Amino acid sequence: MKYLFRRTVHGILLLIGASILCFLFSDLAPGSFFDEMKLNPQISSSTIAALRAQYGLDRPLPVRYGSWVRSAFRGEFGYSFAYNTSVRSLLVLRVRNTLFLTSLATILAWLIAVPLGVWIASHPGKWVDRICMGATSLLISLSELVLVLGLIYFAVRTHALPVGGMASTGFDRLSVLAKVWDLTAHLIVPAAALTLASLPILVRHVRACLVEILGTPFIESARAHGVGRARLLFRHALPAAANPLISLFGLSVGGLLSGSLLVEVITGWPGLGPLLLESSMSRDLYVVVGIVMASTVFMICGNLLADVMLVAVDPRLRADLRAE
Amino acid sequence: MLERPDSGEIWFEGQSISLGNSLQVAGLRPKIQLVFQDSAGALNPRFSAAEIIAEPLEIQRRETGARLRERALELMEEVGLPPDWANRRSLEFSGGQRQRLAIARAIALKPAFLILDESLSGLDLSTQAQILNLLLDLQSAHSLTYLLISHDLTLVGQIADFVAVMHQGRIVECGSRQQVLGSPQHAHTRKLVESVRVVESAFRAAQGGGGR
Amino acid sequence: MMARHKILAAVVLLVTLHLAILFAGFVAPADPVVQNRDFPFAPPTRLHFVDLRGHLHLRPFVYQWTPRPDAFNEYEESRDREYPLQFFVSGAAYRVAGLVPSRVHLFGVDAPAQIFLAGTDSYGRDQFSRILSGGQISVAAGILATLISLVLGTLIGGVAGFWGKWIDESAMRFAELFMVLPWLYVLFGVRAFLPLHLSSVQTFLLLIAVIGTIGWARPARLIRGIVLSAKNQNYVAASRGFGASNVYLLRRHVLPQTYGVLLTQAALLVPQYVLAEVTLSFFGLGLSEPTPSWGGLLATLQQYNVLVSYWWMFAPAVALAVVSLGYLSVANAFHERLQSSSS
Repeated sequence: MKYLFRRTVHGILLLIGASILCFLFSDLAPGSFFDEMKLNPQISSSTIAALRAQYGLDRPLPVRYGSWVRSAFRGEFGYSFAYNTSVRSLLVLRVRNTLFLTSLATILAWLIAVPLGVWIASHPGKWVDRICMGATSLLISLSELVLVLGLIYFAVRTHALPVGGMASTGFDRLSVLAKVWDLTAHLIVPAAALTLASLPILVRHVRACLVEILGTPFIESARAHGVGRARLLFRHALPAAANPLISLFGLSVGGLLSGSLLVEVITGWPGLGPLLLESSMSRDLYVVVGIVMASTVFMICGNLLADVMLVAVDPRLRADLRAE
Repeated sequence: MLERPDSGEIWFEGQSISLGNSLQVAGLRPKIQLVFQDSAGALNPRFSAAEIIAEPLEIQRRETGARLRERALELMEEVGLPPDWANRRSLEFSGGQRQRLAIARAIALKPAFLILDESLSGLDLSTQAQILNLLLDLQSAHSLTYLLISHDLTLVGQIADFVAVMHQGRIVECGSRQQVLGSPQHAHTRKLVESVRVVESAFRAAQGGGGR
Repeated sequence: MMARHKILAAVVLLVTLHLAILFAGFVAPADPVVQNRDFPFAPPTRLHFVDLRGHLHLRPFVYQWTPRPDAFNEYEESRDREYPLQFFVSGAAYRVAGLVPSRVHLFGVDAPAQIFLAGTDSYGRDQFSRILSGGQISVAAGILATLISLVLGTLIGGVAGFWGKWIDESAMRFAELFMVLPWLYVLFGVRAFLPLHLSSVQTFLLLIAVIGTIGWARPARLIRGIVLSAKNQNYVAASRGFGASNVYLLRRHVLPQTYGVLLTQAALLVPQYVLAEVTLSFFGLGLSEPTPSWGGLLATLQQYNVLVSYWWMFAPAVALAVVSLGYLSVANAFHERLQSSSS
């Protein structure tokens, strides 16, 4: 329990530090949201200056940071210039959409990667292994960009799946079953792209972990004692592999909000990705900060989750903690 | 000095050196050298034998270039390592050979005082005997003073002139070999000497019984 | 030794690719910016070995594309004349490595035919030539950004690991901060926040600076670990006993241990950073027209009609994949070598 408390405090400190870093980065921008307006000869520079003052963009950095923090405590997390609404209301929907997509893809990827990795690790060096290594190398090299473009190509060519967006027009008029089917159809291309993109790295990690464990002396001695293949794998090898795999899982969870930028923008999935691109281009400062901070929160939570799970699962760590 | 002492004093050649300033320490380095127990960790596995031996000379800038290598080869011969092994990496050597390497490195700067920290533990008995002989030869050749740290009382009994016994971090008894081992005063020393006697008598009994 | 052979094979492949890209002007048959408005979206020129009469030619030849009279953006081969493939032809002027002017190209065909090994884009520009010169930008960006990350990482990680205590603590906290931020978002955010309309050179430098600086944290952690464990070895203590200075220790004992990891990291980071540049350029945040870069070349695929009808526009993706594969193989081989030497 004390450990959880310590790690949470650590996480909060990280969050504060990250938010400061964020603001520092954003201060690099020589311009602001209203710069585009400068191009319009009808808007006088004094109007622009007044707008900037109104939104507090001309105040020094610490003051801006302070008011952002206060806004965060109020639950608003700043204000979007483009959408004229609080950042929070803007993000809630987008976060939901992104999470929907990425959770599905991550679960799928893990469900495939772990059994596949374990199976391949128990046949090292054979042709299954070679095929796996080759296929994963290929998938990794064909980056997410190419994968999603390729999938769209096939979707359009075969007219099988709708491309773009999350819902067809007239969505609201569909029956519940039709709605579910429509959503699923729209989900397939982006989810498949994300899954295919993260799968190879996961499979490699799982395989590497397990190969290392299967080579250790304690597995050797278990095998010498005549422990059967399946029992060896499930009761001896996997628990030992839990440690690095849990850390990996923590990273996966942490990346739920930040891994889908490309796929979302290209397929038009209304998540955080397109919003980030749009706000960065238009210098909608607080939206960008809000998105970055939201992803950071997830990353910190992911690490925290992994830490807690590690302590719960690994008896050695528990002993270390008790010894402190 | 590698570590700062917590308490007490260290005297060398009539001077206290425990809190010496850096200049004093620098001057002392060549005179006092250390041979570790763990030869594998004490020698950089990627270095060749010649590089290891030449390192102190290089650092202290005693020699350079070709002369450096010559000196390294000389030292290798002196400790009984074949000079044509000079380019082999240290991890290719056996335990006893690595210890020879470490000794060669230690005497490179021609020290007066050599600390051997459990340098003979971890070696099998025949290798121990060889290294011991080497150490004794070197001692007479270069008039070295040794400080041997060991848990092997029989070894200590064989070669030490003076003995100090430590127990729980403190020196509990010290004196000449005859004094400490012949008539031990402290309880701990007595236990140690007693355990050696037990082993020795068992050994002699086994020999006597088998010899018949 | 298997590992050594693998490294050699992968490195050879990679070096060939890099040479082809470096000498893009020579290897490419056409000037990348020249437009052929008569041939928008022409498919790749087909190489033939057997002519109409059924004779086999050792030297391949091509037919010229002519637009189909009744269709739009469709071509057919005009079989009236065969144009054999020539080597070391004289063609458009270019500069080798930007310095030496030359007109020699590795291969080409006589006028008026043109050889479009990877088809053309909407302006009729030869994609093959554009891919090669675009590669110069994208790959160079990846390599330079990797250098920045690794140098920063080694400096900070090395200092942290060697001098330890509070320097180490604060450096690692700082690194943790960088590792917790979503780097792709930060990359986009920072790039977009900086001025969008800069000269090509400035944009290029900006890109590699941003990509490289954000990624210092992971290498720094790795280097710090190595430096820390090296520092605690007995042979370093022995060296100190001989009076070695910190500089000597770093130079002779500590830093050589980092070389293996640095090489593996470099081989892993370069394709990642090339991809980062490609992604940025894809969304218009990198180098803009007319400077070709793989991301910019792929950007036309965002239009569905291009994506579906003109499959050869995927070619830059193939180039990207090949480069990534090459670096990955090298990284794997290094990793194997590292594992086997440390055990």
